[in-house]
Amino acid sequence: MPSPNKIPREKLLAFLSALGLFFAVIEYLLPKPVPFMRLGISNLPLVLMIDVLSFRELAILAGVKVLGQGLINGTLASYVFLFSTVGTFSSLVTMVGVHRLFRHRLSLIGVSLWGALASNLAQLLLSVFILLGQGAWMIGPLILTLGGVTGFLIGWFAQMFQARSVWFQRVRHALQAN
Amino acid sequence: MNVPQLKGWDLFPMLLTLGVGLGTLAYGYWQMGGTPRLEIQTPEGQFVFPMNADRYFEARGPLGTSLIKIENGQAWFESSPCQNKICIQMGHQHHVGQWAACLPNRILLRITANQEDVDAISQ
Repeated sequence: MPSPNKIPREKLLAFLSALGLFFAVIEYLLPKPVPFMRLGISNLPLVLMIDVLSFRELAILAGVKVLGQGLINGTLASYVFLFSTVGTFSSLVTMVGVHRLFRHRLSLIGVSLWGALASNLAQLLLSVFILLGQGAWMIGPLILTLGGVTGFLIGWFAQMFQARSVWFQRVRHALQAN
Repeated sequence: MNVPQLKGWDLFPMLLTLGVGLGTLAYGYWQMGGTPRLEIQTPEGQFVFPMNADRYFEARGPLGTSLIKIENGQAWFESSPCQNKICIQMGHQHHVGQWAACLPNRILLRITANQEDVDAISQ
């Protein structure tokens, strides 16, 4: 029987994946005034757990999130899925990279902002060079600005949650003890 | 309400976001001034129309045909085969720099400005 101080990593991953999908459903229900725009709340588990889980575990979370979003939104067989996949994984790689390199100089807000910037830039470049052509540069200011604002808010919330949540502290200590 | 706890290097991605946003803004509005015209980017090519002549345009994408209407100096997605219809919700565009897009059907319409008058151009 597992010790009460230990949390099975696979159960935690399953819970966080389900949480990400729940947020994806919430996000799906909210109106989107412009294409490309996402609040990004389904990225919250990734930002929150960036210094707790390994890159492989974070990649699993990201993969489940992307697949779940595709199923929920009905975009699994469309270009939107390609956008979502490229955006999520470029954001993940960037966030993990900057967090590991500059963790003492960057807060979660900075990490989340880097993630938003990477995701939006990747999607913008995909639009320009593959899907929509040079005209897609016009989309840039709007999606980068909106992405910056939502990235800031997601990072801020994750920072407050990490500081206040007893559950998060327990998970962090349990995983460090594992 | 908690105040965000920022660290020194958090400013860098903020400034970078702002810089890239302004850069793309400058690029997008490179040729402002002149007569507004509608540029429609589709998988079949780019089509350019004057904004002062009313017309329908059928833009074909991977999902089917999106109907774009130009009327009274405004352009908009009249119908679209995509699921979420965000392109239709984006409404009427009439100022230089405005755009609307249907990502699933790979169609982008944007209003640009040109010094030369056009009837219709396909590129």
